[in-house]
Amino acid sequence: MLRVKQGDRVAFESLVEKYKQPVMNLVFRTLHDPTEAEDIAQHVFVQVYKSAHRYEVSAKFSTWIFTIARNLTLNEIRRRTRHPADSLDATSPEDDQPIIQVEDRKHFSAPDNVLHGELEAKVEEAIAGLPEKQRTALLMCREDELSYEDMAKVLGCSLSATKSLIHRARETLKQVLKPYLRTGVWREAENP
Amino acid sequence: MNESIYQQLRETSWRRKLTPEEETRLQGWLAAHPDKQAEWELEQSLTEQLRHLADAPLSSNFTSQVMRTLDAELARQESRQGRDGGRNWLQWLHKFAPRLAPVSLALVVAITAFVHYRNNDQEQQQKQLVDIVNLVVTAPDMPSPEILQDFDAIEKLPTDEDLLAALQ
Repeated sequence: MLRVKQGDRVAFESLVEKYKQPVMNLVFRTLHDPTEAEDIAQHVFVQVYKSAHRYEVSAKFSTWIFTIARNLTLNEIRRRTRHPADSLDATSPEDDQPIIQVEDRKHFSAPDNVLHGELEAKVEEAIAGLPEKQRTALLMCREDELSYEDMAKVLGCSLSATKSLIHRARETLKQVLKPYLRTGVWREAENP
Repeated sequence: MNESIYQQLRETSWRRKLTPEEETRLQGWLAAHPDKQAEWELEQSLTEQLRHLADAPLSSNFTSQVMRTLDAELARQESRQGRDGGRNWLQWLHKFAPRLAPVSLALVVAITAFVHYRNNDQEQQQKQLVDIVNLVVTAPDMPSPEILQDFDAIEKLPTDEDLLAALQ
């Protein structure tokens, strides 16, 4: 990040490479629209570059970037609430941008993959139903780089409040997914 | 091992797999608390599901798109700065206009009132001067100054009767 601060674009590119997926995971699971999520994720990195001079060496980079990602995502949600009919694409001046090339990572051909895909969809649905803070806390919990203290900083709450958010999120998920969860086997699939 | 250590191990398992030593301690505790076994299994199952959540779809040219967006953004910012360089005072005015407006209005009213008062005053003075000049010009012939040579003595006389007696 110090190199980025000095305008090193190669260092910035490697930062993008490293953090693009974690940032996208967080943004996408909040907005549920891959195109808009990718736009926001791009803006997160643009913001990182533009604000690099404000970055304090004492701060942890992952905490900083997740805070930016969360703030921009919340701004987008507020914007959507104010202008429900608008799309980010409609306001984007980057009309000459290439069409987004999304990698197709899922191949649900075999029956077990289909079941796995369906279980995953149930989990995604349950996560989507969580309140924003609980969902963000739960998703950040998957990131190895972030400690509970870092998550608390991103969420702007205390350590105990952060743990409580994760606990409540997990309790909700367990309740919702109880019929499907049993050491990784989907009960409905066993007893349709 | 007590309940709080169980909770601690539970929180640890949210972040990473337990070490063999932690696992042994946990299994020992669960053996002593069989009622917690089902809860732990559910907990573990959820942790596994969350750990294996698929990554969000991401375009393969994401990084190059970021760099392109960044270049466009920087170019736009640069041209905006160049364009706005000479208009900084306008921005300043725009920023402070709401605060300056009442002050400016009060100032304009005060200046107008002062100018109006001064004009009015000058007009009145001119009018008075004209009146005096007219009076002087149109007045009948004034008596000669010699007539006032005894003015002081006459002024000192206490009553009209004394004056009449003096004249006689």
